[in-house]
Amino acid sequence: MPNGIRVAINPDPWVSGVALNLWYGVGSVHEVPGKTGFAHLFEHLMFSGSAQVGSGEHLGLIQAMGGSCNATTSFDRTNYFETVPLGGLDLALWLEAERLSSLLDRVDQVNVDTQREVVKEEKRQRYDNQPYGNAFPEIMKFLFPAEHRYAHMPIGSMEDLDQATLDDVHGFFHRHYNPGNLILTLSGAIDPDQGFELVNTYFGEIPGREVHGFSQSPLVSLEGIPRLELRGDVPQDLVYCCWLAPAIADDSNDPIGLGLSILADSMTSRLHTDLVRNNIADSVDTFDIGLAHGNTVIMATAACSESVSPQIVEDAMMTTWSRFCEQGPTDAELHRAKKAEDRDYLSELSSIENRADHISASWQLFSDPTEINRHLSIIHALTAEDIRQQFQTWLRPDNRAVVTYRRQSWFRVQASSTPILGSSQPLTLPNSIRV
Amino acid sequence: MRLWSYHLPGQLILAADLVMELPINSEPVGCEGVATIAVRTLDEGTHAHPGPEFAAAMEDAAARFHGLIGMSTTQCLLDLPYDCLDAGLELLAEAVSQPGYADEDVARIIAHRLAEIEQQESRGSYQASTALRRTLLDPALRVSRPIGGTAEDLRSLSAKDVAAFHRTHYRPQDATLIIAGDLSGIDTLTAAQQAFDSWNPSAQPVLPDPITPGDRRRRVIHRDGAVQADIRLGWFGIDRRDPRWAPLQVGLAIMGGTFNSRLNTVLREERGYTYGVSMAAHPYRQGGTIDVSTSTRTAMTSALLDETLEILQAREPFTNDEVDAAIGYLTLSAPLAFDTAEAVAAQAASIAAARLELDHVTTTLDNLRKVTPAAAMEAYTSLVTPDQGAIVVVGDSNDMSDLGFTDY
Repeated sequence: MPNGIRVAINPDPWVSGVALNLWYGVGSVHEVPGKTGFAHLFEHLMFSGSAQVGSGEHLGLIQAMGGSCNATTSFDRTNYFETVPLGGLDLALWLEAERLSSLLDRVDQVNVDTQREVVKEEKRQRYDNQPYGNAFPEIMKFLFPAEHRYAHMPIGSMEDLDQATLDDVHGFFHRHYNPGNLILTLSGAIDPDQGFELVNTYFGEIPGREVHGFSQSPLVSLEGIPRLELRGDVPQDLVYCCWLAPAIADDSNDPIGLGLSILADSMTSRLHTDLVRNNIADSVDTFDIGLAHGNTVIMATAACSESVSPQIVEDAMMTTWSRFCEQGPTDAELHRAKKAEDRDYLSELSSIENRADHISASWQLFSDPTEINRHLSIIHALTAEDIRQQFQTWLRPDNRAVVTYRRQSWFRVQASSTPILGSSQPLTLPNSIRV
Repeated sequence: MRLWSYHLPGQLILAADLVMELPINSEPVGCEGVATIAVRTLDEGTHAHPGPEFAAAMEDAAARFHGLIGMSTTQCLLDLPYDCLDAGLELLAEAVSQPGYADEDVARIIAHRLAEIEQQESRGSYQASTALRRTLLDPALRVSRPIGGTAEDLRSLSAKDVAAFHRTHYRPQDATLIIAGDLSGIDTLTAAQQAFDSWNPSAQPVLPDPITPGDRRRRVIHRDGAVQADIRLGWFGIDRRDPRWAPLQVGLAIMGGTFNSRLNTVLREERGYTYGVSMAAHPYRQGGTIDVSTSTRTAMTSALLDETLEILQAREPFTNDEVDAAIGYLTLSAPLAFDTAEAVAAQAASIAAARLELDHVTTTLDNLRKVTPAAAMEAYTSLVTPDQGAIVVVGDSNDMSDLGFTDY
């Protein structure tokens, strides 16, 4: 559109509703030190009303017509989405356009204070009150230099959230909530011409503003196998092996993804066979965190079986890993992994919500909303050698970092012993605290 | 065995669910968890495809297998492309009729379940939900305890116990096979017959226990160092055959089922006490439960509970606007919710598991559209009596001295 909004329409004659998906190119990567958690706090404020919409009314109206509505904030983007019956599309588009054009008319200190408390409860629920809840934040802090934008999590810190002011909200809105920073996808029972016209009706008048680009340079691969040990009152020791790889729009991402699935995604996968079937680990997993700026992070994790030390698990994992890096997959493994990817990708795209999200994502990341049409052809064309080469280049065992999460076993031992009344026994814990 | 097929054009990945009648109270005393181990070990090998050969054959059919235990059924689910249906169904039939249950496989799956129990129990939200069930339901009932079994029983289970359980209770009678997706050119009946033809009937089934209420207490479970309290309130409820089911759904949506519900508006949007609060009914085959689920920073536990109990009194009658919005939320969402093969199959499986009529969804939608504010209020107040419900709080009890109760 002339004001900069990128609009994609994906008509589907077989469904009765429409999914509306908005990607704003703003996430925690755009936050500066001292203002962490802002993109996410802002996402909450987007539901607190605008010039003509009361607090909570956006969600209430969508739900009352049978629709669903939510939003998520990650490292690189903030995503708002609604799925509505066809007759509700006008209202959904109007609500989204309304908050983009007039959010600041409504936001006040009371909204900010209340949503700050809600976000702090979300942080407690998702991280602070969960076993291993600090693992992911600590891993990101460990893998990236202190000043790096991926070194902090989208949820932010309690201290920074406490400092957030109404002025910050205004500044953030002007900088990032801008038509030129928005991708809008409609998927479902909508004709393209009608869809473009509707989007134009509601969003056409919103003036475009300057878009602030952002980029950060890729970091070099990790060297020297940096190690971090975390401890907590958790039930099981975990091992995380981590690598820095090129950001997800890079061509290396597809062969790496297929290789990761051959390593851990199924019951015949290599790590499942070598670690789980041999009672070294209870479970294994591999994944790509999916970061867009400079680098992404690739992880392989294992939950240590009872009485198996993290070192043994790590060694076993790296033996399998290193053989895979040297030899690549077999033809049979490659064939099965491609079939599984066909199934999972088509299954993922079978709902209009997910399809709309994939289209917005591929436009943002690959500058091409039609990437979803080619994805499976790209996967089918991959060879064993493509996978081997990318693993050799980016995911060699020498380039890993290792994080272990250990049980605080001394705590359990002491807590279970019977206290002897009337006597005093001095004890020094392994961490030097004298009791 | 019955077959239900749902043709959904454009859904190229089919969902196939086999729902077997197998009440959780079929587990012998001292063997709680055996039903879970039996289904989780199914894809670890069969007589025809021992060990990992079975998983490899499933992967060659591009099928993903998943087993699920419910209160009254065991379910086996497959996702697979439409052109792999025959191969997938044959493997599914092989797994349920001739599983290998090798000693080492059963031992490994039990070890994983034991580790899973430790993981679950380390989470406050899990502790709160299981404690609520133990409080609300008669403790003599199998369903009042964790469905996946307890560590004590699991430690003494053997492959022989698992095989014996399978022999006695896995049976085609009363089973329902559900196939949903783009079925153009597919004869599901022939495919199902070919796959399941040789699965022989076995003994008569055990009936599910009717559920009965427990002695409704308030409980505080100490979780050292927790920064938040996980809170549950609960009542004994109804199943989907009760005439109050539709009006109750409307009442619960107004009170705690939607973003603008009375509970969420006050506790989250006005007070900032919580990230969210929900209220829902959980139907069993006969009877059911109703619960409120939320969490808050420890210091606010008492304030949140007071306010929740006050809101639950529903002193203001439900308004027409509230009822209209709730009916819209519950009925107009149906076409959107059922637009994938997976979602349709899951709903059909839920109907099969509860042994409801095939037109249950349609009938419920009709009933929902007719609910009046008075009917919703009556259903709600007949079941949700705030002062008489169970309350479970899991948190650091050192910081909750103002709660007014510990355990009783």
